[in-house]
Amino acid sequence: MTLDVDWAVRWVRSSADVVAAHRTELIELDRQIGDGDHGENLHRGFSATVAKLDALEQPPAQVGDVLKLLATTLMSTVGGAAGPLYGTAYLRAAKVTGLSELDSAAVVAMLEAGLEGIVARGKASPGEKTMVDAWSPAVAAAVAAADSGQDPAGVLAAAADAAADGAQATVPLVATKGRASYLGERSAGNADPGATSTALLIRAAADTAAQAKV
Amino acid sequence: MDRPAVALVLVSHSRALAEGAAELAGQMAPDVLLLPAGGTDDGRLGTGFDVVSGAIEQAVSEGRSAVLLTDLGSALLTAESVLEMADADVVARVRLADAPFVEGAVAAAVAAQDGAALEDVADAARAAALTFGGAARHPDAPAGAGEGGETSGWAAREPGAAGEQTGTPGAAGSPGALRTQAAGVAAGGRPMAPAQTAEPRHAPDAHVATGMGPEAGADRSGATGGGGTGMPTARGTAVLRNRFGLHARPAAHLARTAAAFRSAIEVNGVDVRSVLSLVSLGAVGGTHLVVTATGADAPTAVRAIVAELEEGFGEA
Repeated sequence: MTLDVDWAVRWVRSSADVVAAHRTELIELDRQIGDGDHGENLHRGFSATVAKLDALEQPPAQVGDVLKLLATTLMSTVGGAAGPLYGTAYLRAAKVTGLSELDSAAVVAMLEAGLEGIVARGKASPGEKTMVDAWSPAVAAAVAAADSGQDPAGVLAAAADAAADGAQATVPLVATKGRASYLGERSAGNADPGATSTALLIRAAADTAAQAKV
Repeated sequence: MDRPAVALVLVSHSRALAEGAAELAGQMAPDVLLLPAGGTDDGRLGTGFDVVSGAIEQAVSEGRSAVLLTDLGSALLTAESVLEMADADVVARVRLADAPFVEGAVAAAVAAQDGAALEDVADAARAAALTFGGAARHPDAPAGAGEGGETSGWAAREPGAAGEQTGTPGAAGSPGALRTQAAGVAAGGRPMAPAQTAEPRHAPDAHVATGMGPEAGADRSGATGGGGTGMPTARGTAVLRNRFGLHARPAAHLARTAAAFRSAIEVNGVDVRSVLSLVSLGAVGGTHLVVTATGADAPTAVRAIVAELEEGFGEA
Protein backbone atom coordinates (compact mmCIF):
# COMPACT_ATOMS: atom_id res chain seq x y z
CA MET A 1 0.00 0.00 0.00
CA THR A 2 0.96 3.65 -0.32
CA LEU A 3 -0.36 6.86 1.24
CA ASP A 4 -1.71 9.64 -0.97
CA VAL A 5 -3.03 13.16 -0.68
CA ASP A 6 -6.44 11.92 0.45
CA TRP A 7 -4.75 10.28 3.43
CA ALA A 8 -2.98 13.57 4.21
CA VAL A 9 -6.24 15.54 4.15
CA ARG A 10 -7.97 12.96 6.34
CA TRP A 11 -5.01 12.97 8.71
CA VAL A 12 -5.21 16.76 9.17
CA ARG A 13 -8.97 16.57 9.79
CA SER A 14 -8.50 13.69 12.20
CA SER A 15 -5.70 15.60 13.96
CA ALA A 16 -8.05 18.53 14.46
CA ASP A 17 -10.59 16.17 16.02
CA VAL A 18 -7.99 14.52 18.25
CA VAL A 19 -6.62 17.87 19.42
CA ALA A 20 -10.15 19.07 20.15
CA ALA A 21 -10.85 15.90 22.13
CA HIS A 22 -7.63 16.28 24.14
CA ARG A 23 -7.70 20.05 24.40
CA THR A 24 -8.44 20.12 28.12
CA GLU A 25 -5.87 17.43 28.89
CA LEU A 26 -3.16 19.36 27.01
CA ILE A 27 -4.13 22.61 28.70
CA GLU A 28 -3.93 20.89 32.08
CA LEU A 29 -0.50 19.40 31.35
CA ASP A 30 0.78 22.75 30.14
CA ARG A 31 -0.66 24.52 33.16
CA GLN A 32 1.49 22.28 35.37
CA ILE A 33 4.76 23.27 33.75
CA GLY A 34 4.16 26.06 31.25
CA ASP A 35 1.78 28.85 30.38
CA GLY A 36 -1.28 26.63 29.99
CA ASP A 37 -2.04 27.47 26.41
CA HIS A 38 -0.80 24.42 24.48
CA GLY A 39 -4.19 22.74 24.08
CA GLU A 40 -5.94 25.98 23.19
CA ASN A 41 -3.21 27.05 20.77
CA LEU A 42 -3.10 23.73 18.90
CA HIS A 43 -6.89 23.60 18.78
CA ARG A 44 -6.94 27.04 17.20
CA GLY A 45 -4.20 26.11 14.72
CA PHE A 46 -5.74 22.85 13.50
CA SER A 47 -9.23 24.35 13.34
CA ALA A 48 -7.88 27.17 11.19
CA THR A 49 -6.17 24.63 8.91
CA VAL A 50 -9.38 22.64 8.46
CA ALA A 51 -11.20 25.87 7.64
CA LYS A 52 -8.59 26.63 4.99
CA LEU A 53 -8.89 23.11 3.54
CA ASP A 54 -12.65 23.57 3.34
CA ALA A 55 -12.23 26.86 1.53
CA LEU A 56 -9.82 25.57 -1.11
CA GLU A 57 -11.22 25.82 -4.63
CA GLN A 58 -8.87 23.17 -5.96
CA PRO A 59 -8.05 20.13 -3.82
CA PRO A 60 -4.36 19.85 -2.95
CA ALA A 61 -2.41 17.69 -5.40
CA GLN A 62 0.26 16.17 -3.21
CA VAL A 63 0.90 15.22 0.40
CA GLY A 64 3.47 18.01 0.53
CA ASP A 65 0.84 20.63 -0.39
CA VAL A 66 -1.29 19.61 2.58
CA LEU A 67 1.70 19.67 4.93
CA LYS A 68 2.72 23.11 3.70
CA LEU A 69 -0.75 24.52 4.26
CA LEU A 70 -0.75 23.01 7.75
CA ALA A 71 2.72 24.37 8.50
CA THR A 72 2.04 27.95 7.46
CA THR A 73 -1.33 28.02 9.18
CA LEU A 74 0.09 26.73 12.46
CA MET A 75 2.91 29.29 12.32
CA SER A 76 0.49 32.18 11.93
CA THR A 77 -2.28 31.09 14.28
CA VAL A 78 -0.82 29.11 17.18
CA GLY A 79 1.00 31.90 19.03
CA GLY A 80 3.10 29.72 21.33
CA ALA A 81 6.30 27.80 20.66
CA ALA A 82 4.28 24.92 19.20
CA GLY A 83 3.50 27.11 16.17
CA PRO A 84 7.04 27.54 14.87
CA LEU A 85 8.07 24.08 16.11
CA TYR A 86 5.31 22.06 14.44
CA GLY A 87 5.29 24.55 11.59
CA THR A 88 8.96 23.97 10.87
CA ALA A 89 8.54 20.20 11.25
CA TYR A 90 5.69 20.04 8.73
CA LEU A 91 7.42 22.47 6.41
CA ARG A 92 10.54 20.30 6.30
CA ALA A 93 8.34 17.22 5.91
CA ALA A 94 6.54 18.93 3.03
CA LYS A 95 9.83 19.36 1.21
CA VAL A 96 10.42 15.61 1.03
CA THR A 97 6.81 14.71 0.19
CA GLY A 98 6.30 16.45 -3.12
CA LEU A 99 5.00 13.08 -4.29
CA SER A 100 1.60 11.78 -5.20
CA GLU A 101 2.15 8.54 -3.27
CA LEU A 102 4.27 7.73 -0.21
CA ASP A 103 5.80 4.30 0.28
CA SER A 104 7.41 3.19 3.54
CA ALA A 105 10.72 4.85 2.73
CA ALA A 106 8.95 8.14 1.99
CA VAL A 107 7.05 7.94 5.27
CA VAL A 108 10.36 7.48 7.10
CA ALA A 109 11.85 10.42 5.20
CA MET A 110 8.84 12.55 6.16
CA LEU A 111 9.22 11.72 9.86
CA GLU A 112 12.98 12.25 9.76
CA ALA A 113 12.53 15.65 8.13
CA GLY A 114 9.97 16.56 10.79
CA LEU A 115 12.35 15.65 13.61
CA GLU A 116 15.14 17.54 11.91
CA GLY A 117 12.89 20.62 11.75
CA ILE A 118 11.96 20.37 15.43
CA VAL A 119 15.60 20.06 16.46
CA ALA A 120 16.73 22.85 14.13
CA ARG A 121 14.11 25.21 15.55
CA GLY A 122 14.07 24.21 19.21
CA LYS A 123 17.72 23.15 19.67
CA ALA A 124 16.58 20.47 22.11
CA SER A 125 18.17 17.07 22.64
CA PRO A 126 16.49 13.90 23.92
CA GLY A 127 15.96 13.88 27.68
CA GLU A 128 15.17 17.58 28.06
CA LYS A 129 11.42 17.01 28.43
CA THR A 130 10.36 18.36 25.05
CA MET A 131 8.57 17.08 21.96
CA VAL A 132 11.93 15.69 20.83
CA ASP A 133 11.43 12.96 23.44
CA ALA A 134 8.45 11.69 21.44
CA TRP A 135 9.75 12.47 17.95
CA SER A 136 13.14 10.77 18.36
CA PRO A 137 11.91 7.31 19.36
CA ALA A 138 9.15 7.61 16.77
CA VAL A 139 11.69 8.11 13.99
CA ALA A 140 13.88 5.28 15.27
CA ALA A 141 10.90 2.92 15.39
CA ALA A 142 9.79 4.00 11.91
CA VAL A 143 13.23 3.27 10.49
CA ALA A 144 13.24 -0.19 12.09
CA ALA A 145 9.72 -0.96 10.88
CA ALA A 146 10.52 0.09 7.33
CA ASP A 147 13.71 -1.98 7.39
CA SER A 148 11.73 -5.03 8.44
CA GLY A 149 9.43 -4.62 5.46
CA GLN A 150 6.38 -3.00 7.08
CA ASP A 151 3.99 -1.03 4.86
CA PRO A 152 3.40 2.72 5.49
CA ALA A 153 0.55 2.03 7.92
CA GLY A 154 2.79 -0.36 9.85
CA VAL A 155 5.61 2.17 9.88
CA LEU A 156 3.31 4.87 11.27
CA ALA A 157 1.83 2.48 13.84
CA ALA A 158 5.31 1.62 15.11
CA ALA A 159 6.16 5.33 15.23
CA ALA A 160 2.95 6.11 17.14
CA ASP A 161 3.64 3.41 19.74
CA ALA A 162 7.18 4.66 20.27
CA ALA A 163 6.03 8.29 20.48
CA ALA A 164 3.46 7.40 23.13
CA ASP A 165 6.11 5.55 25.16
CA GLY A 166 8.47 8.48 24.71
CA ALA A 167 5.85 10.97 25.90
CA GLN A 168 5.10 8.82 28.94
CA ALA A 169 8.82 8.63 29.70
CA THR A 170 8.96 12.43 30.04
CA VAL A 171 6.94 12.29 33.29
CA PRO A 172 9.88 12.08 35.72
CA LEU A 173 12.14 14.35 33.69
CA VAL A 174 13.17 17.84 34.75
CA ALA A 175 12.81 20.33 31.92
CA THR A 176 15.89 22.23 30.79
CA LYS A 177 14.43 23.78 27.62
CA GLY A 178 11.50 26.04 27.02
CA ARG A 179 9.21 27.78 29.45
CA ALA A 180 9.11 24.75 31.75
CA SER A 181 12.83 25.14 32.48
CA TYR A 182 12.01 28.16 34.67
CA LEU A 183 10.37 25.73 37.08
CA GLY A 184 13.45 23.56 37.59
CA GLU A 185 12.71 20.50 39.75
CA ARG A 186 9.04 21.40 39.92
CA SER A 187 8.72 20.48 36.24
CA ALA A 188 9.01 16.76 37.10
CA GLY A 189 5.88 14.69 37.71
CA ASN A 190 3.82 15.34 34.60
CA ALA A 191 4.27 14.42 30.95
CA ASP A 192 5.52 17.13 28.64
CA PRO A 193 2.59 18.67 26.74
CA GLY A 194 4.55 18.92 23.49
CA ALA A 195 5.64 15.28 23.64
CA THR A 196 2.05 14.33 24.45
CA SER A 197 0.60 16.22 21.49
CA THR A 198 3.31 14.75 19.23
CA ALA A 199 2.22 11.26 20.23
CA LEU A 200 -1.43 12.13 19.58
CA LEU A 201 -0.70 13.55 16.14
CA ILE A 202 1.41 10.59 15.03
CA ARG A 203 -1.29 8.24 16.37
CA ALA A 204 -3.82 10.11 14.24
CA ALA A 205 -1.56 9.61 11.21
CA ALA A 206 -1.28 5.90 11.94
CA ASP A 207 -5.01 5.41 12.52
CA THR A 208 -5.87 7.26 9.32
CA ALA A 209 -3.36 5.12 7.43
CA ALA A 210 -4.84 1.93 8.90
CA GLN A 211 -8.30 2.98 7.73
CA ALA A 212 -6.89 3.52 4.25
CA LYS A 213 -6.05 -0.20 4.08
CA VAL A 214 -9.59 -1.46 4.55
CA MET B 1 17.22 64.14 9.33
CA ASP B 2 17.10 60.92 7.40
CA ARG B 3 16.39 57.82 9.36
CA PRO B 4 19.48 55.81 10.32
CA ALA B 5 20.22 52.86 8.05
CA VAL B 6 19.54 50.25 10.70
CA ALA B 7 16.07 49.68 12.16
CA LEU B 8 15.07 47.56 15.15
CA VAL B 9 12.30 44.99 15.35
CA LEU B 10 11.24 44.15 18.90
CA VAL B 11 9.55 40.75 19.07
CA SER B 12 7.72 40.05 22.30
CA HIS B 13 4.90 37.83 23.56
CA SER B 14 3.20 40.99 24.74
CA ARG B 15 2.15 43.84 22.50
CA ALA B 16 2.43 46.22 25.46
CA LEU B 17 5.95 45.02 26.28
CA ALA B 18 7.13 45.44 22.68
CA GLU B 19 5.60 48.90 22.45
CA GLY B 20 7.05 49.88 25.82
CA ALA B 21 10.52 48.75 24.84
CA ALA B 22 10.24 50.73 21.60
CA GLU B 23 9.12 53.79 23.52
CA LEU B 24 11.97 53.47 25.99
CA ALA B 25 14.63 52.95 23.32
CA GLY B 26 13.14 55.75 21.23
CA GLN B 27 13.77 58.23 24.00
CA MET B 28 17.49 57.94 23.37
CA ALA B 29 17.30 57.25 19.66
CA PRO B 30 14.64 59.54 18.24
CA ASP B 31 15.44 58.97 14.58
CA VAL B 32 15.76 55.19 14.56
CA LEU B 33 12.86 53.21 13.14
CA LEU B 34 11.74 51.05 16.08
CA LEU B 35 9.08 48.51 15.22
CA PRO B 36 7.27 46.70 18.01
CA ALA B 37 6.12 43.20 16.99
CA GLY B 38 4.33 41.97 20.08
CA GLY B 39 1.46 39.58 20.63
CA THR B 40 -0.24 37.21 18.23
CA ASP B 41 -1.88 38.06 14.94
CA ASP B 42 -5.18 38.43 16.79
CA GLY B 43 -3.79 40.39 19.72
CA ARG B 44 -3.33 37.67 22.33
CA LEU B 45 -0.20 36.96 24.37
CA GLY B 46 2.18 35.00 22.16
CA THR B 47 4.02 35.61 18.94
CA GLY B 48 2.53 35.74 15.48
CA PHE B 49 4.16 34.89 12.20
CA ASP B 50 2.41 37.67 10.29
CA VAL B 51 3.08 40.28 12.97
CA VAL B 52 6.80 39.53 12.87
CA SER B 53 7.09 39.15 9.10
CA GLY B 54 5.18 42.41 8.57
CA ALA B 55 7.48 44.28 10.93
CA ILE B 56 10.59 42.85 9.27
CA GLU B 57 9.29 43.80 5.84
CA GLN B 58 8.72 47.36 6.98
CA ALA B 59 12.07 47.50 8.77
CA VAL B 60 14.12 46.52 5.72
CA SER B 61 12.19 48.65 3.25
CA GLU B 62 13.78 51.78 1.76
CA GLY B 63 17.15 50.08 1.77
CA ARG B 64 17.43 49.71 5.53
CA SER B 65 18.77 46.71 7.39
CA ALA B 66 17.38 45.53 10.71
CA VAL B 67 18.35 44.01 14.03
CA LEU B 68 15.78 41.77 15.73
CA LEU B 69 15.48 41.35 19.46
CA THR B 70 13.28 38.69 21.03
CA ASP B 71 12.00 37.98 24.51
CA LEU B 72 10.89 34.49 25.60
CA GLY B 73 11.39 31.23 23.68
CA SER B 74 8.72 31.28 21.02
CA ALA B 75 9.56 34.85 20.04
CA LEU B 76 12.94 33.62 18.83
CA LEU B 77 11.37 30.54 17.25
CA THR B 78 8.84 32.62 15.36
CA ALA B 79 11.49 35.11 14.23
CA GLU B 80 13.67 32.25 12.99
CA SER B 81 10.73 30.70 11.17
CA VAL B 82 9.96 33.98 9.44
CA LEU B 83 13.57 34.29 8.33
CA GLU B 84 13.63 30.69 7.15
CA MET B 85 10.79 31.52 4.78
CA ALA B 86 11.91 35.02 3.83
CA ASP B 87 13.66 36.03 0.62
CA ALA B 88 17.43 35.76 0.66
CA ASP B 89 17.91 39.50 0.15
CA VAL B 90 15.82 40.19 3.25
CA VAL B 91 17.65 37.57 5.32
CA ALA B 92 20.97 39.09 4.28
CA ARG B 93 19.94 42.41 5.81
CA VAL B 94 18.61 41.08 9.11
CA ARG B 95 20.51 40.07 12.25
CA LEU B 96 19.00 38.24 15.20
CA ALA B 97 20.64 39.61 18.30
CA ASP B 98 20.90 37.15 21.18
CA ALA B 99 20.49 39.79 23.83
CA PRO B 100 18.44 40.86 26.83
CA PHE B 101 15.28 42.39 25.42
CA VAL B 102 15.08 45.80 27.07
CA GLU B 103 18.77 46.50 27.64
CA GLY B 104 19.66 45.19 24.22
CA ALA B 105 17.00 47.34 22.58
CA VAL B 106 18.31 50.49 24.25
CA ALA B 107 21.95 49.71 23.45
CA ALA B 108 21.18 48.81 19.84
CA ALA B 109 18.98 51.86 19.35
CA VAL B 110 21.71 54.19 20.58
CA ALA B 111 24.24 52.52 18.29
CA ALA B 112 21.85 52.82 15.35
CA GLN B 113 21.20 56.46 16.18
CA ASP B 114 24.96 57.01 15.99
CA GLY B 115 24.92 55.64 12.48
CA ALA B 116 26.58 52.34 13.34
CA ALA B 117 26.55 49.60 10.71
CA LEU B 118 24.34 46.52 10.95
CA GLU B 119 26.90 44.23 12.59
CA ASP B 120 27.85 46.88 15.12
CA VAL B 121 24.25 47.54 16.08
CA ALA B 122 23.73 43.80 16.61
CA ASP B 123 26.93 43.62 18.65
CA ALA B 124 25.83 46.55 20.79
CA ALA B 125 22.68 44.61 21.64
CA ARG B 126 24.60 41.44 22.43
CA ALA B 127 27.14 43.29 24.55
CA ALA B 128 24.29 44.57 26.71
CA ALA B 129 24.25 41.16 28.41
CA LEU B 130 27.68 41.95 29.80
CA THR B 131 26.32 44.88 31.78
CA PHE B 132 24.66 42.44 34.14
CA GLY B 133 28.05 41.44 35.56
CA GLY B 134 28.25 38.37 37.74
CA ALA B 135 30.32 35.27 37.13
CA ALA B 136 28.10 33.74 34.46
CA ARG B 137 28.31 36.81 32.29
CA HIS B 138 31.90 37.62 32.94
CA PRO B 139 33.96 37.51 29.79
CA ASP B 140 36.52 35.32 31.51
CA ALA B 141 33.93 32.75 32.50
CA PRO B 142 34.13 29.42 30.68
CA ALA B 143 32.33 29.52 27.36
CA GLY B 144 29.77 27.01 28.49
CA ALA B 145 28.78 28.88 31.61
CA GLY B 146 25.52 30.03 30.17
CA GLU B 147 24.55 26.76 28.56
CA GLY B 148 21.20 25.29 29.28
CA GLY B 149 17.70 26.51 28.90
CA GLU B 150 16.39 29.78 27.65
CA THR B 151 16.73 31.09 31.17
CA SER B 152 20.42 31.59 30.65
CA GLY B 153 20.78 31.37 26.96
CA TRP B 154 22.45 34.62 26.05
CA ALA B 155 25.94 33.31 26.17
CA ALA B 156 25.13 29.94 24.70
CA ARG B 157 22.81 30.47 21.77
CA GLU B 158 23.97 30.99 18.26
CA PRO B 159 23.65 34.59 17.21
CA GLY B 160 21.12 33.66 14.61
CA ALA B 161 19.67 30.74 12.77
CA ALA B 162 19.56 32.25 9.35
CA GLY B 163 23.15 31.44 8.57
CA GLU B 164 24.19 35.03 8.88
CA GLN B 165 27.28 34.24 10.89
CA THR B 166 29.79 36.55 9.34
CA GLY B 167 33.40 37.06 10.13
CA THR B 168 32.67 40.28 11.89
CA PRO B 169 35.74 41.49 13.66
CA GLY B 170 35.42 44.48 11.36
CA ALA B 171 38.21 46.59 10.11
CA ALA B 172 40.77 46.97 12.83
CA GLY B 173 40.50 50.42 14.24
CA SER B 174 36.95 51.03 13.08
CA PRO B 175 34.72 52.43 15.79
CA GLY B 176 33.03 49.09 16.24
CA ALA B 177 36.05 46.84 16.26
CA LEU B 178 36.51 46.65 19.98
CA ARG B 179 32.88 46.26 20.76
CA THR B 180 32.85 43.41 18.31
CA GLN B 181 35.45 41.63 20.33
CA ALA B 182 33.67 42.24 23.57
CA ALA B 183 30.53 40.88 22.05
CA GLY B 184 32.37 37.80 20.87
CA VAL B 185 31.89 36.46 24.34
CA ALA B 186 28.17 36.63 23.97
CA ALA B 187 28.09 35.36 20.46
CA GLY B 188 28.73 31.67 20.81
CA GLY B 189 30.94 30.58 17.99
CA ARG B 190 33.30 33.46 17.75
CA PRO B 191 36.83 33.46 18.98
CA MET B 192 37.10 34.98 22.39
CA ALA B 193 39.34 37.92 22.90
CA PRO B 194 40.30 39.40 26.20
CA ALA B 195 37.88 42.28 26.04
CA GLN B 196 38.22 45.56 27.76
CA THR B 197 35.20 44.81 29.90
CA ALA B 198 37.28 42.18 31.63
CA GLU B 199 39.01 44.89 33.53
CA PRO B 200 37.79 45.73 36.99
CA ARG B 201 35.25 48.51 37.09
CA HIS B 202 36.91 50.71 39.59
CA ALA B 203 39.27 53.52 39.13
CA PRO B 204 42.83 52.27 39.41
CA ASP B 205 43.67 55.54 41.06
CA ALA B 206 41.97 58.87 41.44
CA HIS B 207 43.84 61.93 40.35
CA VAL B 208 41.82 65.07 40.42
CA ALA B 209 43.90 66.83 37.86
CA THR B 210 43.29 66.31 34.25
CA GLY B 211 46.40 64.89 32.78
CA MET B 212 47.54 63.54 29.53
CA GLY B 213 50.41 61.45 28.43
CA PRO B 214 51.56 58.22 26.95
CA GLU B 215 50.96 55.15 28.98
CA ALA B 216 52.91 51.96 28.90
CA GLY B 217 49.76 49.96 28.50
CA ALA B 218 50.54 47.83 31.50
CA ASP B 219 46.90 47.27 32.32
CA ARG B 220 46.00 46.28 28.83
CA SER B 221 46.46 42.89 27.35
CA GLY B 222 47.76 44.12 24.07
CA ALA B 223 45.15 42.03 22.33
CA THR B 224 42.47 44.65 22.33
CA GLY B 225 42.23 45.12 18.67
CA GLY B 226 44.80 47.36 17.17
CA GLY B 227 47.61 44.87 17.13
CA GLY B 228 48.90 45.79 20.55
CA THR B 229 52.24 47.31 21.20
CA GLY B 230 52.45 49.89 18.44
CA MET B 231 49.17 51.59 19.29
CA PRO B 232 49.23 54.99 20.99
CA THR B 233 47.50 55.10 24.33
CA ALA B 234 46.33 58.03 26.39
CA ARG B 235 44.95 58.49 29.86
CA GLY B 236 43.17 61.29 31.64
CA THR B 237 41.14 61.85 34.76
CA ALA B 238 38.06 63.89 35.39
CA VAL B 239 35.54 64.63 38.11
CA LEU B 240 31.88 64.28 37.26
CA ARG B 241 30.44 67.76 37.61
CA ASN B 242 26.73 67.24 37.26
CA ARG B 243 24.89 66.26 40.41
CA PHE B 244 23.13 63.18 39.03
CA GLY B 245 26.21 61.77 37.39
CA LEU B 246 26.28 59.30 34.54
CA HIS B 247 22.61 58.57 34.11
CA ALA B 248 21.20 57.60 30.74
CA ARG B 249 21.21 60.93 28.96
CA PRO B 250 24.81 61.93 29.76
CA ALA B 251 25.91 58.36 29.07
CA ALA B 252 24.26 58.46 25.65
CA HIS B 253 25.91 61.82 25.06
CA LEU B 254 29.34 60.41 25.89
CA ALA B 255 28.73 57.37 23.69
CA ARG B 256 27.83 59.63 20.78
CA THR B 257 30.96 61.72 21.30
CA ALA B 258 33.06 58.56 21.41
CA ALA B 259 31.57 57.37 18.12
CA ALA B 260 33.48 60.14 16.37
CA PHE B 261 36.82 58.55 17.26
CA ARG B 262 38.57 55.46 16.05
CA SER B 263 40.24 54.60 19.34
CA ALA B 264 38.93 52.21 21.95
CA ILE B 265 37.91 54.42 24.85
CA GLU B 266 37.09 53.40 28.40
CA VAL B 267 35.81 55.18 31.44
CA ASN B 268 36.73 53.39 34.66
CA GLY B 269 37.33 50.25 32.66
CA VAL B 270 34.09 50.12 30.72
CA ASP B 271 33.54 50.76 27.04
CA VAL B 272 32.44 54.35 26.66
CA ARG B 273 30.38 53.40 23.60
CA SER B 274 28.21 51.12 25.70
CA VAL B 275 25.61 53.32 27.33
CA LEU B 276 24.51 50.54 29.62
CA SER B 277 28.03 49.87 30.85
CA LEU B 278 28.45 53.56 31.60
CA VAL B 279 25.16 53.73 33.48
CA SER B 280 26.01 50.58 35.40
CA LEU B 281 29.11 52.30 36.79
CA GLY B 282 26.66 54.10 39.04
CA ALA B 283 28.88 57.17 39.01
CA VAL B 284 27.24 60.10 40.77
CA GLY B 285 28.27 63.73 40.87
CA GLY B 286 31.74 64.23 42.33
CA THR B 287 33.00 60.79 41.27
CA HIS B 288 36.54 60.66 40.00
CA LEU B 289 36.76 58.93 36.67
CA VAL B 290 39.69 57.59 34.69
CA VAL B 291 39.52 57.83 30.93
CA THR B 292 41.79 55.68 28.82
CA ALA B 293 42.06 55.27 25.08
CA THR B 294 44.00 53.08 22.70
CA GLY B 295 44.27 53.90 19.03
CA ALA B 296 45.52 56.39 16.50
CA ASP B 297 43.52 59.30 17.89
CA ALA B 298 43.78 58.30 21.55
CA PRO B 299 44.98 61.65 22.97
CA THR B 300 42.25 63.64 21.22
CA ALA B 301 39.64 61.13 22.24
CA VAL B 302 40.60 61.27 25.90
CA ARG B 303 40.65 65.07 25.80
CA ALA B 304 37.16 65.18 24.32
CA ILE B 305 35.66 62.74 26.82
CA VAL B 306 37.34 64.42 29.80
CA ALA B 307 36.04 67.78 28.61
CA GLU B 308 32.47 66.47 28.44
CA LEU B 309 32.67 64.98 31.91
CA GLU B 310 34.04 68.21 33.33
CA GLU B 311 31.44 70.34 31.59
CA GLY B 312 28.62 68.54 33.38
CA PHE B 313 26.47 67.88 30.32
CA GLY B 314 24.64 71.14 30.75
CA GLU B 315 23.14 70.01 34.05
CA ALA B 316 23.49 71.61 37.43
